[in-house]
Amino acid sequence: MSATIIILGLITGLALASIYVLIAISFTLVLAASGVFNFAQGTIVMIGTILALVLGVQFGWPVLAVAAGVVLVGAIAGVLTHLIAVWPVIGRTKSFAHSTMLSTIGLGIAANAIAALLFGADSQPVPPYVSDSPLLIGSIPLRPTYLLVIVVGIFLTMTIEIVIRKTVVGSVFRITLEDPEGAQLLGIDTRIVILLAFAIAGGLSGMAGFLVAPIISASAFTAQELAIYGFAAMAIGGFGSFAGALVGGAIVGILTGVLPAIANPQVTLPVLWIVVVAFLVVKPSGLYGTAGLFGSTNLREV
Amino acid sequence: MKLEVENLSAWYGQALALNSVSLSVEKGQVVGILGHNGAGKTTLVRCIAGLHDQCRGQVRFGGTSLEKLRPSERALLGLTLLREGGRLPASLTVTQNLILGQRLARARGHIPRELNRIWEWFPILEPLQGRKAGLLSGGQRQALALAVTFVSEPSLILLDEPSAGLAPPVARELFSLIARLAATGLPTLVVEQHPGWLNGLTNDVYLLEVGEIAAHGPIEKLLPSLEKSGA
Amino acid sequence: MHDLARKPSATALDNDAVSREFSAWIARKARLRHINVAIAILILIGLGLIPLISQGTYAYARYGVALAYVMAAVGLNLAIGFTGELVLGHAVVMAAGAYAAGMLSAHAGVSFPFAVLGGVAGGLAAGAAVMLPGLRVRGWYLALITMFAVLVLPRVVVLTEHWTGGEFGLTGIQPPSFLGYLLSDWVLYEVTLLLLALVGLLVANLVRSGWGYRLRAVRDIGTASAAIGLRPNRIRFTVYLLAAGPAALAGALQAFTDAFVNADSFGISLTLLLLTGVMLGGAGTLWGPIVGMAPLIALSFWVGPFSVYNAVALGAGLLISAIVVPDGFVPLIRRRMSRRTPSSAVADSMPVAPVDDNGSGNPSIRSRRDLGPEILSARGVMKTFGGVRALQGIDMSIRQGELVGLIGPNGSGKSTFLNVLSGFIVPDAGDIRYRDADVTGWRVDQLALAGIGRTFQVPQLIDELTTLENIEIGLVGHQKSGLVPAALRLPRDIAWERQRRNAALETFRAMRFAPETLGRPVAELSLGFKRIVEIGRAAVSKPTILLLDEPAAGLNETERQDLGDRLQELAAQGITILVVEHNVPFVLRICDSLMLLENGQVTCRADLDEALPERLETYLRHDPTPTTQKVES
Repeated sequence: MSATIIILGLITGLALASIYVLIAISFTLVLAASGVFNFAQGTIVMIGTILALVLGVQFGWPVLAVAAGVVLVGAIAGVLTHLIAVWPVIGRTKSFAHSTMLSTIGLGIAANAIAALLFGADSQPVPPYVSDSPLLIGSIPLRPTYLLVIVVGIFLTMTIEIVIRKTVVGSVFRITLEDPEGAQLLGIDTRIVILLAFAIAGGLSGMAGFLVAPIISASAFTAQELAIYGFAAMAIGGFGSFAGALVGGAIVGILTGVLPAIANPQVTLPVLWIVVVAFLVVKPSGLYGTAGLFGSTNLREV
Repeated sequence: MKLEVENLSAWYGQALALNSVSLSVEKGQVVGILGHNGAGKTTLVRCIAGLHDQCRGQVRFGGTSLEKLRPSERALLGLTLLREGGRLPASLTVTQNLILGQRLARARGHIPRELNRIWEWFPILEPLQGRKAGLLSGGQRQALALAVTFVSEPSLILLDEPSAGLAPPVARELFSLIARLAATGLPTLVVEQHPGWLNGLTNDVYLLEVGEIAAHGPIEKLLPSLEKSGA
Repeated sequence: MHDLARKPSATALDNDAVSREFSAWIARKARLRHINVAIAILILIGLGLIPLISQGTYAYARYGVALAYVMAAVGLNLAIGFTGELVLGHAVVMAAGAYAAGMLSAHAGVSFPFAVLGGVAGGLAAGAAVMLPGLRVRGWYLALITMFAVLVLPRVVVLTEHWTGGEFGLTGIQPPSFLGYLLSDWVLYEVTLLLLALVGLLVANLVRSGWGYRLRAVRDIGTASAAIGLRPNRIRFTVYLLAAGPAALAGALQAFTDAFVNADSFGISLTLLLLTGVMLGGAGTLWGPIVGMAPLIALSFWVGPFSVYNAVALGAGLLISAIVVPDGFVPLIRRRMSRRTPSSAVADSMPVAPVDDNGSGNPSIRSRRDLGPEILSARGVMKTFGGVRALQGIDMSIRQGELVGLIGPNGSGKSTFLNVLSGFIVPDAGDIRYRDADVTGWRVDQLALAGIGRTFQVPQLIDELTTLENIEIGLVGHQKSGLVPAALRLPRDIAWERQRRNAALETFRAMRFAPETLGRPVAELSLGFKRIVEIGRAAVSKPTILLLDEPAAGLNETERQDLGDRLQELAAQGITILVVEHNVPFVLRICDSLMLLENGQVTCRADLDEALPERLETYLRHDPTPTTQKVES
């Protein structure tokens, strides 16, 4: 077990971390805007990986077009999720949170199964988007694909953070989640904001799928695990905080990257579970999640 | 634009909160609503703004019936509400809140005032530009809420107990701002528990008791009824 | 003094009406129970006779699986439906039960009954571990972390493949035998069926007992249930074990039915099957798991278990049921069946018995009660939240038997102080003394059991239970909580139930509720009524002090009158009452004395039968006063 192996594991882990961060942010965006935890978010990531294969390999589209296509389909999938599993539930039940949990679980499972039916049970590799010849840093080979994922992941996260904190669009989003009444009184149609949140989260998830496809291959069965990793990142880092998503994602990513390199790969998931439970028991709101979302004082029930 | 309320009734579950209330507010008018806790004052303004579901009756603004309109659509008509306690999204800064107000003005087809002009009207807010709304004092928040409404170029302003929770000197300043705004001709409806604040602001006051209009007229005429039900 | 012995004939009539209502309600429940038992017996007989028409090892294996699933669903319903805990890891519990039983049999040759017991123990341990986070997190966080555990299971199985057989599964499980006799397929089937019936019976008994109240209190009232003397987290943990039991048993039995254990059968699909079954049937109902699981099992048998089409159907089924029947089938059926009773007649009618004419509105008839020694006091109580000093050194004392009103402007700290007195908030400084003991920092349930009761701004009742039952709940925390007597319906438990019912009836009569509301679910009744029910629940345990949080808010004039009268009656019985209120005329009418809270301090304390101090006069004349100060930091 050399240092190189650990460092390679670390890099893989950081690349995966970027994906988990994007997924965690997707969860958070939807949850913050609408109070719904979208169990079907992982499905959109999975669709992203499959589309990356279909559009890129089978149709032969150029990389940027594939990325655009995946994001677009992801956004549409997000909107559809809202229309199918959330919108019909509004006003029909005493426990909105429970009902939408069930409806999004149901939608996710059905969609996963349909995807498996259409795509088949095999996982198919997706060629990397940049040259695959490793860059040598010191004596460590660094695959450009991983670098790409890390860079894009950080870039997207920072962009979203800046947009939410500093722009008018971000203010519109934040007032919708913190003070829905006040938003309405300012002429903001909160229904549209919620729909947008689903769409943007969907686009992000699709992008995550697109980025991770060369690393873990396109498969119809990745949805659940990826969703769990994204949730773990969110739970550890703290719900509603970008710093939290980054740190949580990094921790989960490093665990999932390094552990398989130095120990039995089967150990990864159990260890992760124990880590998440430990965090939740000691600090249920996560590392950075305290006074609520994006620095606000409005707490959704955790 | 004229606000007309006709036979407005409202419920909380089974309990009747408002019983056939009628009133109107015209351009250039300031109307006051007095009443104790539980009289239905807040319910009344929330119904007008569209925030309360169980309402029946006619509410017309500028001739348009508001019945089917969501609160955001009413806001787009220029109807604004200052909620009790100066409620505002806590994590947005003063400037960000004002920008949202400007956004509403633009959505209504107006050109919003520049922030510089706002500081002239509300000097208390200028040094607080970057401060988050949640960290402001009660008086500052109320001033901000009023400023946000002001910058959105409203056609009517509803105020729910602006003096609540404020120290008297602070409330006095707030009311002088309200008076300045009303002096521009903006139709204003002020709901209050304490008659003292309405002095000098308006002579057209309704007394609301247990969801019904018990009296209507200048404050002096209403005071005896108020004392009887109060102390 | 408000004369309780009014028109004697009216009172006697009322009592008769109450007794009649009570008997009618009990009779209704008994009838329902008889019908349920009859249906259950019929179903059992029907299922028991299946071996006559369908034979073969494969058939029995499938039926065994079906029974196991229903058993697990019954357990899951206890947690999700009755207690509101979203634990989705039941597949892990079943797997643990199966593996434990299987391993004991295959590796250690343990006989069937003991292997099953071992399986149950293993499943309970696994269940406790998986559901433990529920003591710290709620809602979908808990749902996710428990679902996560289901994904972890296959890895753990592979890691321990030396014992579990890893990916290839556990084999070598001995055929089941009992006392030397080999149990054939259909005997095992019947045994499973009997065990399912037993589990169902125990669960039904439990739900009908005081434990049923505890579970629902945790679900619908949550943390605030400590105010009636309950300990929510203890109850939650107990429920986790209770819910895991049937699932563990189901898993253990399955190990012998299939003679094979593999982690594949205990994956997310199973989790979803159980979840959908419980929700579709109706979470929190006794028949729910059976009504819900039956169609799903039938579907999966028809389509072929664990085929992909199965997953599609399951997912779609869950989605549709969440939208169309969010409460599940059983409540829907119940609603259809009870359409005959015109419940809407209550809408505007007064559910509370009419107020007596003589005296309630006349302030001069307020009695001068003999007040006892100081019973509750606060000294220097301070509390800061974030940057806000909510309580800035409160000094106050209340004498036994007093009816005190605590008034003050918005934001003066009234509710915060009430939360400190009842234990929901621990003060930063200062102390609270109750009956000559320092109770600062005592837990909410400790204070409740010591005689401090309270109500909440929004009444925390259990909507689906009747008025009488909601009052009864006030006593559950004060009684011993024996699980075994409850599950077995032992005489001891029946005695407790009788005790509760009688005390609740007494309170029901004393508070003059209209007899017809006795057996009605409180969901159908008005806010004013619910407030008084909550007071009844707090009063049934004969508390020393009652803390009321804005009871008059949102009530109309008549309801306020009623409320005031009842409070005075309670005070006349010797209960000390502290009313936090906004509504000044209300407190002026009923209280002996007032405390004025401004800016987190008591600025004024006065008896109402003397001249009022200036400060209070000023406040009462609606002059504006400053409120909460912010700490400059």
